[in-house]
Amino acid sequence: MTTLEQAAAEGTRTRTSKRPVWMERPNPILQVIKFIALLISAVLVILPFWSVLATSFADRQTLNNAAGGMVMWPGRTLSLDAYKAVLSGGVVTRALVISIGITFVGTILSLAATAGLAYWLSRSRSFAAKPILLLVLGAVLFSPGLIPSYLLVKQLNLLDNWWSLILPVLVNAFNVIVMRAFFQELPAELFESAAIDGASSLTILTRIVLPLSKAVLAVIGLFYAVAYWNAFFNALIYIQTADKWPMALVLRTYVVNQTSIGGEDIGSSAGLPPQLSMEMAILVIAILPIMIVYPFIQKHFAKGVMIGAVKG
Amino acid sequence: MTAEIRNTPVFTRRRLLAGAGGLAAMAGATSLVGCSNGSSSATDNASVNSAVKLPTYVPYTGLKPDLPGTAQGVDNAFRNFPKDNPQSVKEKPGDGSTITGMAIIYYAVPPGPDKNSYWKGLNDRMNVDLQLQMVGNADYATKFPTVIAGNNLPDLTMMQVVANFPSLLDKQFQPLDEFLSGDAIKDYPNLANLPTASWKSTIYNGHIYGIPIPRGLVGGYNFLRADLFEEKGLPTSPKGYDELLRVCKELTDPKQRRWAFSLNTQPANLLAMINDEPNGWRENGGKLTNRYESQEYKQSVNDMITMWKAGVMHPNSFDPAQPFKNLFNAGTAAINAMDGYPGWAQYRSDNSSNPKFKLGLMEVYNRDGSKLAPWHLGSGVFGTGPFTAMKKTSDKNRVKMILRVLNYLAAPFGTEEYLYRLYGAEGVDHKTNSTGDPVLTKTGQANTVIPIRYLADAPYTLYQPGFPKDADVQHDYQATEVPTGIMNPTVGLFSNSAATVNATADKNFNDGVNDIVQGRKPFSDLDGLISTWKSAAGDAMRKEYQDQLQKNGGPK
Repeated sequence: MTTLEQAAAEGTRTRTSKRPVWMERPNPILQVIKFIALLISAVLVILPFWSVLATSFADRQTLNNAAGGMVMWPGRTLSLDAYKAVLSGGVVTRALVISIGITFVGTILSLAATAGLAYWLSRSRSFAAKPILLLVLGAVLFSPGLIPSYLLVKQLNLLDNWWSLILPVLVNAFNVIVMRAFFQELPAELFESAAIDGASSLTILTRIVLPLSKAVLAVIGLFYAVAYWNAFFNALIYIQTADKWPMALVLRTYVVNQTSIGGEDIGSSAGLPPQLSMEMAILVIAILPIMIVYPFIQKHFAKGVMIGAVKG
Repeated sequence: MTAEIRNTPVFTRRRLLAGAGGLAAMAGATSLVGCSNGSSSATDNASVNSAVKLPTYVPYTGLKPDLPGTAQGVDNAFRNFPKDNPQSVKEKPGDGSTITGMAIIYYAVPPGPDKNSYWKGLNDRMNVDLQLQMVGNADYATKFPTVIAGNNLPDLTMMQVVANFPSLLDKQFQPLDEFLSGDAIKDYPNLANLPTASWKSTIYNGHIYGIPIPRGLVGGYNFLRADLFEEKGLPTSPKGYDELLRVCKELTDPKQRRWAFSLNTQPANLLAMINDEPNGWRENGGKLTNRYESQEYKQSVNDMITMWKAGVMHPNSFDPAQPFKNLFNAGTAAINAMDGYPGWAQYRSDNSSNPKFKLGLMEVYNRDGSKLAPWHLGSGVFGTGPFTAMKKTSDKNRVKMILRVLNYLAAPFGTEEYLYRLYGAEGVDHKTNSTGDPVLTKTGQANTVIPIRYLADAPYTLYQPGFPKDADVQHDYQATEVPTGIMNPTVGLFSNSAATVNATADKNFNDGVNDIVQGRKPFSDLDGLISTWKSAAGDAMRKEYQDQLQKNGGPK
């Protein structure tokens, strides 16, 4: 048997170098293929965003020529009319401020409530931890339904009040369970030593548990923030004055209503920029804040998702 | 990870509809779906309804239209905005109190009254504090039931016909006959100016329950791209089915991305008239026949198969989300049949920068082309919210005050009140151009869209700013088509099955017919589809309507 044949018989296990596979010198052809594959996926992700952006700057004739569809290029001249129309009257800017406020306050309160509840449920000797846990699990399975929720909010005198957008969704049971699982994984010795040093439950939570849980807090905070930012339904039901609308609902009226204008009824749309570019302009405005915040939380995000995946 | 989705309670459309079904029960309805006598409320039957005296019609005479309308339902037309704008309401209607209302909005939300000079000005003129809940039209069906179930009604609500509608009205809304029936309406002259036909949709349980939102009886127009027709020298009003098919084939050129139609309902609606199908239902001696059961409908399905095979319909014609207006603007589709008539203004404004664009209208001839086909008239009211109802109250003076406010809002075209309601203040919300037409400024565009037009509105009037001849074109068209028109005999009647189970049954039926048209199912399946639809909803609807018709001795 020749050495070559020997090598073939031993199969691929024989390697010229002793380095593990992930430290091998990269194969240039493979590199190019990988690059192209990644480039294609990146372009596929970016294209819709680009099209939204291009359409928001397109003028009427360009859109008409495209049979009213999205365009990839805004035409010869960039038209800012859509942005001007959307931002005039101050409704959108106001809604933007409201949305930022609700997202900020809501996320902080939600995190505090979720962490508190999860900590309680994570300590095996807490009072009534089991029944409360069952209650929380029940909330995952059964939602209260629209009309009972409405009646409750009405009786709490929260109609047309921004608290109606936060309190009914303050604690998400799923997030509580994820956080509880994380807290349970913390070594019991930490709690014991803290208790011996005379720390109260609150001190243990704030000084020991929370600082060790930054990753899970960041991820769950992001979940809450995105949910608050995107939530339009509660605002639709509970907020009566259009001045108090958050961005998501303003966005929705722009986007969802457009098809029926004109066909259903007359109005004063004459002279406004094309509806589609206005929709896209407002989409761009609505995406911006999330795009600005996201990079700062991203590093925690990758770490945090694993928590739910393995231990949840 | 689906955590972010779960943070908000998920409500499906279906669950909401179920909520709407349970509504009347919460409102204390006397009976629920599936009542044996068909009509959901014992008091909503035609003998009671026919007893109510409709408001006397007193047309407004303060302004003479350039082209007057007719009693048959042709709308008044103005070539230019009248220079002289008389006042139709002499004194401020309100008493300084707050009036709340809820209606749909199609546009971007306007700024609130504190930041909106137009809104503030309107409040001053009416001496009220008008507070409006504006709901996007796509979300109204969701919001409406919650507000009713939560017993949190505003003073004025744009109504939507839901299950057990008569009992809902009975429990929560104010009957208005004492204020509006017969000559009583003369206290509110602008409301007396609303066409008699439009009031029929407000009558339930033998009472007038609201102010109709009137719309042109013509219902829809057959819009066409006259420039594309001229290019090929084709007649814009083809005489008969054969000529229509020929014209459609000539217009179609897939290589140039051009088809005659962009949506399957367009040829279907044309054929409904060409083949003389019933307009929804046909009444004959108290017996009703639905268009689906008629022989004429079978003919239309056959013709649709021919049209689909001939390729004159856009390949995505069966997609209900097809952007047909955009395709029409782009010249991808040449005919936009039976689109809502206000589309005229929309297409004008959409194509303001395209000098080649030429809008035309197609008259419909019968199958052999010998004469005009019977036109299918609309209901005469705004389909999405046929009328505005008032919350129940024992305070008669308040009812009268609110009616005066609605009377103000219903001021007819060309009056001083109308000018302000639609165009706001001169110099701020609008400017008057050289031809005397008011043109909204940027401020006006943002400020004037508060949805008062769905609380009360003037009778529809033909007027296209900047295009005086458009008034003639539209008026001629209406004057040609409306006299041939047939009404749907069930307009103004209530069927609980129509408000509940028919939506699904109708969709299943139409899905099946679409399969037949596209050749995925044989034509012989049509009879099965019809009998399925009849047992699911059609027969129940017929019984409910017929019971009301018979007690009434004919269509209202």
